[in-house]
Order: sequence, then C-alpha cells, then structure tokens
Amino acid sequence: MDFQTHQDEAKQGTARLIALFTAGVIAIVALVSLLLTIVFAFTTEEVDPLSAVAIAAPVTLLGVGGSSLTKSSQIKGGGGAYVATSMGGRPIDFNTLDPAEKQLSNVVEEIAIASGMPVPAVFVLDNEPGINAFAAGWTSDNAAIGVTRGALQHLTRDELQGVIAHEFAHIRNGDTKIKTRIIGWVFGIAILTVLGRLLLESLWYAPRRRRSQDDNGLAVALMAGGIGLIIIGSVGTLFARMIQAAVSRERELLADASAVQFTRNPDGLGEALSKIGGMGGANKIRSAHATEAGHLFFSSAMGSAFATHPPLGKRISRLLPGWDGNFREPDREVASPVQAPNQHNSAGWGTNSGQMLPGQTAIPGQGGVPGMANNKALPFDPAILFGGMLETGPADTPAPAGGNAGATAAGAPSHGAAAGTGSFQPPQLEGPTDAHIVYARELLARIPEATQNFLHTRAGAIASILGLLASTEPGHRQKDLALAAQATGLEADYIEAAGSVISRLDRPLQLPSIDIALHSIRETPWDFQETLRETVLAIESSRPDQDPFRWILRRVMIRHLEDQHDTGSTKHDVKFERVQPAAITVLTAIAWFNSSGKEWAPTAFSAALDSAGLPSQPLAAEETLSVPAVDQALDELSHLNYDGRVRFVKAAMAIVAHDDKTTADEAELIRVIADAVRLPVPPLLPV
Amino acid sequence: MAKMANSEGALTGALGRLLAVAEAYPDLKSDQNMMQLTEELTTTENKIAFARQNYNDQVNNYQEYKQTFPPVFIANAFSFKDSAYLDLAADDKEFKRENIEVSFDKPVNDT
Repeated sequence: MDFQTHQDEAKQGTARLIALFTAGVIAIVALVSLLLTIVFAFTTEEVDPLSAVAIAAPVTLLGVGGSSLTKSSQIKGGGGAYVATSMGGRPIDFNTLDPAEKQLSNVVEEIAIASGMPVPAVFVLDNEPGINAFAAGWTSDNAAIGVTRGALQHLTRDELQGVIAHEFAHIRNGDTKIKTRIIGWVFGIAILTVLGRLLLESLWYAPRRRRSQDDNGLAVALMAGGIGLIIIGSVGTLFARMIQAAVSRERELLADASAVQFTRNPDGLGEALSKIGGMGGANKIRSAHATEAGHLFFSSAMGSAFATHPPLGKRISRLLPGWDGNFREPDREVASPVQAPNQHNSAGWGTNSGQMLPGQTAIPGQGGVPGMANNKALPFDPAILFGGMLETGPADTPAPAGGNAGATAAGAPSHGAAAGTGSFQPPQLEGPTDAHIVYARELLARIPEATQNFLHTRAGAIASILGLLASTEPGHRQKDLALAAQATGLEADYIEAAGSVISRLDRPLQLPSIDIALHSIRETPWDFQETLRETVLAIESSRPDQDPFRWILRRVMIRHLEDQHDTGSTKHDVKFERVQPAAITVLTAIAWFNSSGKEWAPTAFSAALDSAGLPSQPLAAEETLSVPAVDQALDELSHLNYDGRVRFVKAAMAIVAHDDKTTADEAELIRVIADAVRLPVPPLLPV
Repeated sequence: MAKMANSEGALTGALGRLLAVAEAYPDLKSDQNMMQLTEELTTTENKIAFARQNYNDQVNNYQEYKQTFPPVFIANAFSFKDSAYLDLAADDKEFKRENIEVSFDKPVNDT
C-alpha cells in the first residue's frame, strides 16, 4: 500500500470538505442575515439594507460561533483518560503480569517508538466482547487508547499492532481536535433551529388580543422569521452532518494509511478488519460517550451518507490488495492467553498478596491491601494507583529479605568498612564506557532480588523512599512519617519499615536502588507525583538537617519528579558568570563536606576555584551554609548552558580529586551534584 | 552509526536463530515462562526495528524538507549535509538476509 499517497489524498480530501463546510456556514450566515433583513423590512418602515445586514451578520456569526465554542470546550475539558474511563475503561499497568495486557503494553510502546510519540495511557474495556478500539485526547500528552477485551482475545500480535497503530494515527493527526470543532459548528447551526422554534412558540403562546394592522404584520413577519430559521437550521444541520460524516470517513482512511506507515505491515490491520467484519454487529461499543472518541470501527445504522466510517470492504481492499472479499471467521480464539478479566485485579487487591516486610502481618478483615490505611478521603483513587500493582510476589519474600539482611549484617564489617571508605577512581565526564557498564551490572546483581522486586512495586518504592527521607531525630521523625502517610494513603508503620529496605544495603548500592524505586514511581499519575513532590519538600523543610546523604536523596527525588513534566520549554542558556555566586555557594558546601577532614576544606576550595577559572577568595564559614540556600543555588545552576555545566562539574570534581583519594561518599556527592545540574556522570569505578 | 548497525545486525541474527530453534520444540513453546520470554524478545526486537524505522523516516523527512522551496536556499547557503540512513549491515554476509531457496532435490539437513 502506498501509504504516502493515500495520506496525501486523505488530507486533501479533508481540506476540501472543510472548505465546503466553511462555505456552508458562510452561506447560512448570509441567509439568516437576509431573513432578518426581510423581517426588519416588514416591521420597520425605514429599511436600510446595508445597515441591516451589517447588524444581522455579526449577530448571527456570534450566535453560531459562540455556541460552537461552548460546545467544543465542553467536550475538550475532559482529556483522554477521562473519556476512556467514562466509557468503562480500566487503566492497565505497564508492569502487569497478565500476558495479554503485557503484550498490549509492549505493542503500545513499540508503536510509540515507531511514531515518535509519547506513550499514552492504555485502557481495557472489560465488558465489551466485540473487537474494537478507540483513541481519545486533545493532544499527544493527554492521550488515551482503549481496547476491548474481545480485541485482546481474538487478535494476533500483528493484528493488535495494526489496530494500535491506527489509533496512534488518530492521535498524531489531531483527529479529536478536528472532530470536536466540527461537532461544535454543527451544534452552532442546530442552534438556529432551536431559536426558530423558540420564536414560534413565543408567538403561539403570546396573549391573543385584538391586533392592529401593524401588530399583525409584525406577528406574521416574526412567524415567517421563525419558520425561515427552522428551515435554514434543519437544512443546514442536515448538510453539516453529511460533511461531518464525510470528514470522519476521510480521517479514518488517513488513519489506516498512517497505521501502515508506522507498522510497514498492511496485513495486520487488514486481517483485524476482516475479523471485525466476520463478527457482525457485535462490535459496536455501547456507551453514551462513544462519539467523543475516534473509533476503529463503528457499525453505521444510518446509511452511507451519514456513516462515520468508510465501508469495511473498501478499507480492507485498500489494505490487502489480494483480498477475496470474505470476512474471517472469528470464533477460534487466538494464542494470546487472556485470563478472565479482573482476575488479575482481584489477585492483587482482595487476597493478601502485597509485598510484606519482615515484622508486618496482614491485617485480617480489612479487604484491602495490607498496609493501606482506610481508602476514604484520598486525593486519588488507590485502585488506579495500587490495585493490581502489588504483584503476588514470591511467597518467601519476608524470609529472604530477613535472611539477606542477616547475611549482609554479618558480612558488614568487612564490606561496610570497604563501602564506607573504599576508594574509587577519580570522577570523569566521559562515559559510560564498557567498564562502567560491567560495573553497573555487578552493582545490580549485588542488590538482593527480593529488594529489587519490592522496589519494583509502586507502594514499595514510594514507601521506601519516603521512609528513608524521614528525619532521624525522634521528634521530627514521627511528624515526617505522619505527613507521608497522610499524603500517600499508606500506613506510617509501613513507611517506617520500608525506609530501612534501602538503608540496609551497602552504600554503593543505595543510589542504584533509589533509581529503581524512582522508575516505579514514574508511572504514577501526574497529580500523585505532584503530591509526592510536595510531601518531599515538606519533609525536608520542616526541620534543618545536616545529613548530606538525605539531602542528596531529596534533591535526586525532586529533580526526577520535576523532570517528568519538563516539556522542553525550560531554558538552559544561562552563562556561568551570571550564576557565579550560586556556584560558589555549592562549591563551598561540597568543600565542607569533603571527607578528608575539615582542615582540607580551604585547599580543596581553592583547587575548585582554579579549575573553574574564578578569582580566589576565602572559604566561607561552615555556619553560613543552609539547606535552603544551597537548594536555591542548585536550582539556579540547573539553567546553565552546556559549557557552564561542564565548567561547574569539573570544579566540583576538582574538590574531590585534590586529595588523590575518592571515597564512596564523595563519589555519591559528585554524581548527585552533577545530576542536579543536568550533566549526569557515570558511576565512579572502584580502584 | 555503523557500529550501531553492526550491533543491531548481530542481535537480530541471534534472536532469529533462537526463535527458529525454539519453534522445533512444541512442549517448550507452550511453557508459560517460555511464552513470556518469547514475548519479551519479540518486543525488544520490534522496538529496535521501529526505532531504526523512525530514525530513517526522520532522515527522509529532513532530506525532503531540505529540498522544498524556501528552505532549499538556506540549506545551500549553509551547506547542510544529508544525514546517514541507518541501514542493515549490508556488507556483512553473515547478517544479510538470504533469499529462501526451495529445492526438492536436496535432502533436508536438520532433524
């Protein structure tokens, strides 16, 4: 299939139809203005046609345009996920264990790569046995794709790929925007009918009394005006709907051609459509909101002029030139093993399968996930967040975790000593080289599998990070834990216990584990990430803390949570000279936390100044440092342009390297500072 | 680019051979873990292929755009160069796809 030509044709077709539509709207406005002018002519003696038209035309335009805008903003307000859930969709987790959903999520990711678009939210309509799919959402950032259970059961991988590619094509081509605008304008034209009827009704129910000749003329004129409006409105709506359907058909053909562009495989989509044809009328999605989403297939009840989708046969023959005209028999279920829907959910939700920490028992009788506080009054729905996400972990999770802790503790003296003071090669900006990759693999292998599994679950990841962040001072700790518990809906004890999961690990393993946890957190809904970010900020700002590791952890968390929503519009073009004071502040902080000892701080500091080419100045006293000041300095530095970043990170490295010995703490500090100014540095290799 | 094309060629070849061998063992094919593994391998291979396809599409778009009316002057003025397509390792015989030969004379040489 020559998809490029087909796409061009469809786009031209759409342009022609839109032009026709616009001409139609103009014609309608002209007609209505004419009508109003005639009505005026009958009612008032002085008729100035030009001024009458000049008044009538804008009024009509405002009326029609205004109502269309209202209607379209009403539809637009929802966002893709809203439309999907209102159609009965259930969001899937990309870490799911259910094979069919995992395959679906893999296919969605593949097509996202192929089309160069971000991965949208994916929903499954469990109650729909037919094969169908839809795409909703105004922009590619808040888009959502939904697939019916029947599609998961009956389609092969290639066919599913074709279907998903078709839906992605709708998102990429902005079909929702076009559709919503046209719906708006059709509504605006339909308003005329309503107005006409209103006019007639007001005349009908007006008190009848003896009328003078003038009033009679007025009444007739108004009645004629009302009837005229109704006629214009109805005819206009009729044609507008026909054009709307024609545009929809063109966009469907465009989506088919774009799907082939993404997958380079017309057979997938073609066979899927063939199977749909074989299933007959069972494919219609029954939902009131169905018209707001772009569908794969919609059985058109009204006949060909108003059909929103081109005839199935035509679509299939464009995709599969050798098609023989017979639809496929759909009743044999294909190899994608789909378990009964909701079994996956109930396994994670009803029965006790949450990852449990040593010492925590399930709370019997509480039909929720162990560790979840009562689910009312939460700012978000925990079912979407956690339901089904707490996989049935290995049943012996508590034991190995405990066992590992024991083993680690026993091995701690030799390891811990090495971990705390083991030396590393000096930091470098180039990388990652093969040596780095090998080292990273080693690090990952040293993290116990049970811990990795725990951090892969969302609840586990969130709880361990928040537990780790909570202050170590007894008074503040309870407050921090309570804050975290309230924001996330997990219990404070659970968070506290989870906090030790990472801190029990050896030092070099801690930042990598945090990276794992951050990845799990990344898949939470955006407003939950906002809540999390505020919690993190609140925990730290509720008391001053000089523990550098916690400060490091907090910065990493905030930076990653913020980066989720970096639309690329933040500027990174500030020159180094402009943020010199901020750089000096941060270099001072690093110099004081240098592990060679406080007396080395001034020498280290001057080494840094030399490296950055800054004039030498005395090192500020340690007392002048404060966490908020350093935070703010780092924020300013994060807008540096590339050369400035390199210069700054080199200066920071100079501090650490000046004593020819790099410890684990220093290694971490450098990596995190570099990460905070958006110049990531590969892990420091052990000597 | 060339290094990436080579690595990708090696990976695709290895995966293809693995999946082909796995096809010969029906019990293995229906095992749950094997199905998950196959799915993971398939999706990884697909993602690499799609990424390469997307890259080549973008290179194509860039080159077309460079030749359309207003930008063609700017491109020539500043000598914008064409980008390289990410091709299959075309010269390495081992990774090149060979045409399938069907012959009824030669004996089948695997089990």
